[in-house]
Amino acid sequence: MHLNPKYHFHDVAGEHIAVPLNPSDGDLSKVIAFNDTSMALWNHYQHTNFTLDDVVSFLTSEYDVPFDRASADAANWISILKDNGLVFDE
Amino acid sequence: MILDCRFANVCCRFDATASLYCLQTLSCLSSFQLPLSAATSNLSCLYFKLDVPVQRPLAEPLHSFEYSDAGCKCEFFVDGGSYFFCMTNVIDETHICLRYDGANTVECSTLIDHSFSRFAIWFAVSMFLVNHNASFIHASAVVCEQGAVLCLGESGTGKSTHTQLWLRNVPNTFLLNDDSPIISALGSSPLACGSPWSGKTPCYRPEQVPILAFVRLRQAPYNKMTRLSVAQSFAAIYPSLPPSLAFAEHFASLFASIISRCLLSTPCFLLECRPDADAAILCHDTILPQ
Repeated sequence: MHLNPKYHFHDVAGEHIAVPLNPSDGDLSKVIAFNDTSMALWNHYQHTNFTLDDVVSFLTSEYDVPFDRASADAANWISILKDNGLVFDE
Repeated sequence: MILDCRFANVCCRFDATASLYCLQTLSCLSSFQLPLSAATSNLSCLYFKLDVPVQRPLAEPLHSFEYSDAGCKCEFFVDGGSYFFCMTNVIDETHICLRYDGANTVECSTLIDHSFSRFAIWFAVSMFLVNHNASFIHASAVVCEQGAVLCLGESGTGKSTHTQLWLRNVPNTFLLNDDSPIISALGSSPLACGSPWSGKTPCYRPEQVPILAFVRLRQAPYNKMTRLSVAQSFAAIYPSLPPSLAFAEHFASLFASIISRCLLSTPCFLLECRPDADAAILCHDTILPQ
């Protein structure tokens, strides 16, 4: 899978806000706030394809988090981003 | 012939021959016109060269839309490092095009009609403002106790109705602008500024006041006011800035910077409301508690 390159990030009053540059439906109010971990994941996979296992590996290597928790968090992260059009399958 | 105007923190120098009559009869501009002797050296200045032929680019537009007030199709392009805006009358296909070099010069073909002219100048100035930490915002702005409340919402939401309710029910208020005031985020305290573009209400006040709050309006069968988070505030304000410019990465980034500066010191609320006096009083009492 890969990230949607149409989304651009801005630091807004200390928060990471994802904004679609050219929304197909013209709706500019669909913005998404990212926490620091989500932002780190986005930056890591911005220019490369990745799998669920890649995200789990990233979380367990970068953060002090057990494998089961990382697996659940990775699946949740991907699911939320897919639902909002920020992640596409191949 | 030169005509200078000041909009918020920038000045605009129109250099026109054939278009001069059209400019001089745009009555909304007159309140913002500077005397020829006025010192403008402390202001960033846009040189607006009129009556220069500008060709429509061959590239695909970044954004196109119908502008029903002037009965025309509008197209926004980025091409060769410049920004182009073209308006074409849908009936007789007369058109004007302007080119902004991204710095301090606009070239524009001859202004042919007042509705076209007003919107074309607005569009050109909007690009220059954003490059100087300011932006038009689609809002009705009411001033109370030396500060502005900017009421946001899509057309038909009731922005003007709500600010009229302030004027009738809250003492010591006045309307700053009813459609397209300017927000300026140059200093630590963001400002709301009047402009010559005020929709159908001829309210052209060349004044600047601090912004007290942004208020996104939503029609409801009750009155309820909620403070928004940073992300919600961004989502409330961002669509109210000139939408075409948000399609260009350069301007989208600057929009985010302007909103960010505003939100560091200014709250944003959602007001779910009826069109009644209680809504205006609730809004006032929330923003300016006694």
